[in-house]
Amino acid sequence: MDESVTDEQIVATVLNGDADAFESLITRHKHQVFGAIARHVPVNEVEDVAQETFIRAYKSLASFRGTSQFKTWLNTIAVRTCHDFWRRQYRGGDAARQAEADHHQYDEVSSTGEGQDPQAELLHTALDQLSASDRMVMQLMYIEENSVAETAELLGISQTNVKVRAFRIRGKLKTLIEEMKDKP
Amino acid sequence: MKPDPVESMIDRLKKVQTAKGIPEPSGQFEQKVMREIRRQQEDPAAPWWVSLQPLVLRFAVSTALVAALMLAVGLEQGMGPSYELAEVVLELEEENTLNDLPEL
Repeated sequence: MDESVTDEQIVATVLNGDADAFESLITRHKHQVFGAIARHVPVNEVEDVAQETFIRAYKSLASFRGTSQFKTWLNTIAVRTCHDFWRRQYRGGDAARQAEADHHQYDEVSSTGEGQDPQAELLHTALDQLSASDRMVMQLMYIEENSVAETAELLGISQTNVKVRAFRIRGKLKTLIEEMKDKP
Repeated sequence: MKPDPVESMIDRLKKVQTAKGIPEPSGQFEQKVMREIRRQQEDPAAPWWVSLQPLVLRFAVSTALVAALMLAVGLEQGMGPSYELAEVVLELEEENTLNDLPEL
């Protein structure tokens, strides 16, 4: 598709019955979507979650009003798909297995070459203790530095809910750090 | 001043996440997504109420079990509205019969 054609024009084309035009939207935004998803889920799950994101976007294309940019709208769908991914993992009891996969990634990038890093171990334990929603709030607010309002908007929950979760996450992290300090 | 341990932990997580990198989409990613979209359009998912069926069934079974349990307990204790009502009627009848007795 011609670069001068806007995302909104392609959306209109798809909605007018040319479903194949959606492929050009995938080409334009796949790297951005992969980037957004990679921050939330283990590397080996990124492609599947990205696929689900684009399928959801296609199905709800009629609800895109154009009040925000298409990529912002798509990013919201990507974040919510990641949220659903973790909810499914917790429900199916697979969260620990996924967390394990995540641990391997963290270990690979945080390896100091001097054996197990106690800080990395603490991070793993902390992530394991969070629920699906807490995990998402932690990522969006503390790692990506979104505001309370932005986090609430991305996850589709109330600002009060985000504030409560953020407060609880900090408390959990503090307790964990203290527990680790007390260990011989 | 000593740094906040929670803040330093979050900082560390940020660094780790930055270093984690982003995987590249596979060569046929667009085609794969489009194929899946077409497949789902040809074979739409079951209507939403179908997913509720196991839930409704579970609710019906548990309600029946609770009702059976309540009935069993009620029978065991000789309780229940009909029994209580019968008792009241008997009491009233007894009272009336006594009242009806001619004074000796």
